[in-house]
Amino acid sequence: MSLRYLASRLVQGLFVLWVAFTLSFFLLYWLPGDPIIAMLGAGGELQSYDSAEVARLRAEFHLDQPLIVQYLFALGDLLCFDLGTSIQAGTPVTEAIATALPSTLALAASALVIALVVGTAIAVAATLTRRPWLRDTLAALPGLGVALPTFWVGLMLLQIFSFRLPLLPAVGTGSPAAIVLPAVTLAIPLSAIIAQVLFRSLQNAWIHPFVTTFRASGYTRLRLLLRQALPVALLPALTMGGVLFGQALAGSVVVENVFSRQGLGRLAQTAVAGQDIPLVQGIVLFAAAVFVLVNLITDLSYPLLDPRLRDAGRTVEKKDSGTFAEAAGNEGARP
Amino acid sequence: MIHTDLLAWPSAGAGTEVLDGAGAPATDSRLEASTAVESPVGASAADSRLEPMPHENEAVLDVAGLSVTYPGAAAPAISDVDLRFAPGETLAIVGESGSGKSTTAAALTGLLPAGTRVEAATHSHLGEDLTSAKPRTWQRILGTGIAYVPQDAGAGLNPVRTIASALSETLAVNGYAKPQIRPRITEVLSAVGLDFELHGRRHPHELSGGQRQRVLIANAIAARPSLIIADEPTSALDATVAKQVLDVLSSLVAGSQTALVLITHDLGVAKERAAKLLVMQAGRIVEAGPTDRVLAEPRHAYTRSLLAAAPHLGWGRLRPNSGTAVPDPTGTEAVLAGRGLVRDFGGDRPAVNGLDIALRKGATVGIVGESGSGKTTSARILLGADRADAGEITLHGKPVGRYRRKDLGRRIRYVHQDSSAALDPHYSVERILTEPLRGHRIGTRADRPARVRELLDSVALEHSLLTRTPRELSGGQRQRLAIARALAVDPEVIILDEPVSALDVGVQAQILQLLVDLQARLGVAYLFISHDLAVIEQIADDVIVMKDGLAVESGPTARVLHESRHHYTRALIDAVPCFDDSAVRTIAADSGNTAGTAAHTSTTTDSTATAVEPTEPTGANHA
Repeated sequence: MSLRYLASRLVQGLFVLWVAFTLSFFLLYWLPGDPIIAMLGAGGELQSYDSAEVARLRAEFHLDQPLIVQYLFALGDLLCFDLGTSIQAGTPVTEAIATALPSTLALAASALVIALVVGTAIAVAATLTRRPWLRDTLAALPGLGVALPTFWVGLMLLQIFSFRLPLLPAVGTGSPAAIVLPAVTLAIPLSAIIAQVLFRSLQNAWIHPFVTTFRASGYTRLRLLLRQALPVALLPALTMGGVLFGQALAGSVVVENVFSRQGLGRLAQTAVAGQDIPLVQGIVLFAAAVFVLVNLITDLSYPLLDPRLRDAGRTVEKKDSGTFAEAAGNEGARP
Repeated sequence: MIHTDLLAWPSAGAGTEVLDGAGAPATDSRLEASTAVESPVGASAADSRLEPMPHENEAVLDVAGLSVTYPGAAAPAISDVDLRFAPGETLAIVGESGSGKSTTAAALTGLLPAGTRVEAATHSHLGEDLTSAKPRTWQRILGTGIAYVPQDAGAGLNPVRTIASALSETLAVNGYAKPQIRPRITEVLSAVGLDFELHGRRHPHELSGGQRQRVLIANAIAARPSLIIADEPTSALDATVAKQVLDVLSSLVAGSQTALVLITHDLGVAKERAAKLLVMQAGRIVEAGPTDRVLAEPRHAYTRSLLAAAPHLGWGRLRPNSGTAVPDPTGTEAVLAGRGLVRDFGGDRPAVNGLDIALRKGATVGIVGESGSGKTTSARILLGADRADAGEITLHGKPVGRYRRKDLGRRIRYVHQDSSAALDPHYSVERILTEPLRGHRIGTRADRPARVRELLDSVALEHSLLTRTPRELSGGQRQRLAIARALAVDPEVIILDEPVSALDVGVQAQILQLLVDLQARLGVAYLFISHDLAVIEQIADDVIVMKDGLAVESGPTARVLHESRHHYTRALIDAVPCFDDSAVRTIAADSGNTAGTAAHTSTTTDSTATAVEPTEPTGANHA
C-alpha cells in the first residue's frame, strides 16, 4: 500500500465531501419556507414580528446576501472546521452533533453486532444444510428482512415486548435495556444485507475447486465451510461495509423517532423539520465524512485479508527446477 | 531425496509415528487415530497393530457394476464400470471428454453432487463396503484411505491461506496431533521437492503452476492414503513441468504399497506411468488390460481410433485432402513479416526480445514454447493488438503503419484458443458469420446469406446449424465456426493461438486437417501457436522455438525437430510423453491405407471416425 495511493484516496474523499456539502447547500436553499420565521416560531405571519429583529437575524446568518456569497461564507467557515450555529438551538452545530453522537453510536454498534451474528448464521446455515426446503427458506429471509419497513417492525416490537409483555422499556435513552428493541429493529435490515451478500459469496466459494480438494482430504462440511470457504467468501462481503453504514444511519432516523431516543437521527429529523440549515448541513457533512472513512478503511483492509493484493516483496518462483530435480531423483528435463 | 517409506502403507517401516495405524485398517482408523492422539500409544502397542498387516491381500479398491446417474439426466453418465486393484498398482484411465473419466473419479472418492444416483454391485475399499456409504463414512476414508489430486492446480488451493496452513489443516482433520503436524509437512513438502521454509509460508499465487500441483500431491499423500486418484494432474502444465510432476507422483508410489489411479486424456502419459490401462468411452469401459498390450494390440475400435488420432512426434506434416502437393513456400515473398520485435512490459526481462518472423502465402509458421515464453505476445503484436517497443512489421513489404487500421483488420485475422469465449453467446451462427461481412462492407445485404452458407460449407458445418447459438454447438463445431468467421473477409494471414489445445484428440486431428485443406485451397498464411510439438509438426512448415521471450531456435520444422541444435528444443522433445513405438504404426498399417516407414495413416474407416465424434466429419491424412 503506497503513500501515493493513500494520498489520492484522501483527495478523492475530500472531493466527495465538497460535493456533498455543495449539493446539500443548494438543495436546502431551494426548500420553501423561511428559516428565520421558523426559528421565531409560530404561524409564519411575518407581520407579527419585529422586522428589525428579523433583519438583524438575517444578517447574522448571512441570509441577506446573494446566494453565491452565502455559499462562499459557508464554505469558508467549513474550511476553518466551523459548521456554524444551529438556528434553532443557538448552539454550535459541532456541539449538537457531539452531544447526539454517543447514543447513536451505541445503537449502530449494537445493531451491527447483532446483524453480523444473525446474518452470518443465516448465510452459513443456508450453505451448510442438505435439505432443500431449509435452504430455500433461509435464503428467502434476507429478502423479507429488507422488505419490512423499519418503522413498522419497531412498532410491532414495541407492541409485543413493551405493551403486551412488559419486558423492555418502550422509550428513552437512559437504561441499557432501552437499547435492545431499537438495536434489534435496526439490525433486521442490516442482517438481511449481510446474509444476502454472504450467502451469495459462500455459494460461489463453495463450488470453487479448492473446496473439492479439501473435501477429498476428509474435511467435514462445517469445517470446510468455516475454515476454507468463509475466509474467501468474506472478501466480497467486505465491500458492503459502506452500504451497511449508510443503512444504519438512515435506519437510525426512523428508529430513534419511533423509540423517542436521543441521537443523530432524531437530531436530523428535527433539523429538517425546523429548516435548521446549518445543522442539517453539519449532519450531512458528518455522515459523508464517516462514509468516506468507512470506505477508505474497507479498501485499506483488503490487502490484509487477501494476500493476492499484498505488494509482496517475495517474487513468484517461475522455474520448476533446483530442489525439485533432486527430489524427483532424475536429471530434470534439461539434458 | 525421496523418502521411499513416505506413504508407508501398510508396511511397518514408519512405525516411529504413533499414527501409522490410522492409515492401515480403514474400518477403525478414526477411532484408533483419536485414541492415539489422546493417549500416546507405547511402541509395543503400535508394533502389534502394524505387524499383522491384515489387509495385505485385500484389494485397495474393488468395484463392480458401478453406474452413476446425475440428477435430471435420462441416461447414466457411467455404467457397468468394474475396477479392482491391489496395493501398489498404478492404473491409468484414458478417454475423451465426456467419456466418464472424471465421473468415475468422483464416484470413487464420494465427491458426486447431492442427488446423484450411484449403484454398484460391489464397491469396497480394503474390505470395507462402500456401496451405500454415508457422507460420514466417506469423510473418514478420504484423506487417510483414499486421496484425490484435482485437475486444476490454479484453483485447487485456497487463495487466502498459506501452503503450510492448508497442509496442517488437512493433517489435523485426519487425526494428526499438533506435535506431529510440522514434521510431517516438512516431510511431504520435501518429498515433492518443496522446502518448508521457502515455500510453506507462501500463498498459492506466489508459486508456479508446477509447484502448486506438487502442493496438491503433498496434500493428497499427507495422511498416508492407500489409494491416490489423480484427475488429469498435469493437463494444465507445460510439458517439461508435467514430466517433473509425474516423476514425483510415480516415484512416490513406486516404493510403497499405495495404489495410483491416473486419469488422463494423454496416451503417452498412460504408457509411461501406468502398468494397467483402462479405456473409457461414453461412460463404459471399452477395453482394459496391461498398458503395453492395449497400446500394442488394441482390440476395440475406439482404442484404435484414439491411438490413430493422438498426435505424436514423427508423423510429419499433414497433407491436404484434395491431393494437391503442399506448395513450396520458400520461394514466395513474405506476406507479413516482423524484424527485431521487442515488447517489454517492465518485468525482469522483455516478454518478446528480438523476434524475426516471416509468414508466406500458403505456408504456416509455428511458434512453440512453454507458458510465459512470449508466444501470445508475439501473436498480439503481429495482429496489431499490441505495440512493439522496437522492431518493424511489414505487410507486403510496406510498414503496417501505412495501412488503414480497418484494412489491416481485414487482412490479418485471429482465432482464439477458447472458442466459447471468442464467440458471442447470444448470437446465432448466421449472425456470427454475417457480422464481419457487414463490418467490412463485403457484398450486399442480399449476397450475404449465400456467402455465410458458403463459409459453413468450407468448414464442413451443416446449414441446419445456422440458427443455433455457440452454446448449442460442440467444442469442435465451435472452433470450426471461429475459423469460418476468420475466413469470412478473405484474409491473407490468420493467427491461430492454440486453436486445438482445448479439444479432444479426435476433434483436434479433424480441425488440423481442415486448416491444412483450407490453406491449400485459399493460399492463406498461418501463424500457428502451440505448446504441443506434435501438433506443430503436423501443421507448420517452419517453426520458431521460444523461451523467455527469445527465439532460441528456428527453421524448417523437420530440421528443427530431428536435428535440434538448442538444448531447450531437445528438452521440449524429450518431455513429450510418447507411446510411439513400432506397435502403434503397425496397427495403423493393419487398419489403414498406407504406412511408410515414418509415415502414418489414421482415422481410416468410417466406423472408427464416428466413434471419435459422431457430429464431426472424418478425415486426416498424414504425409
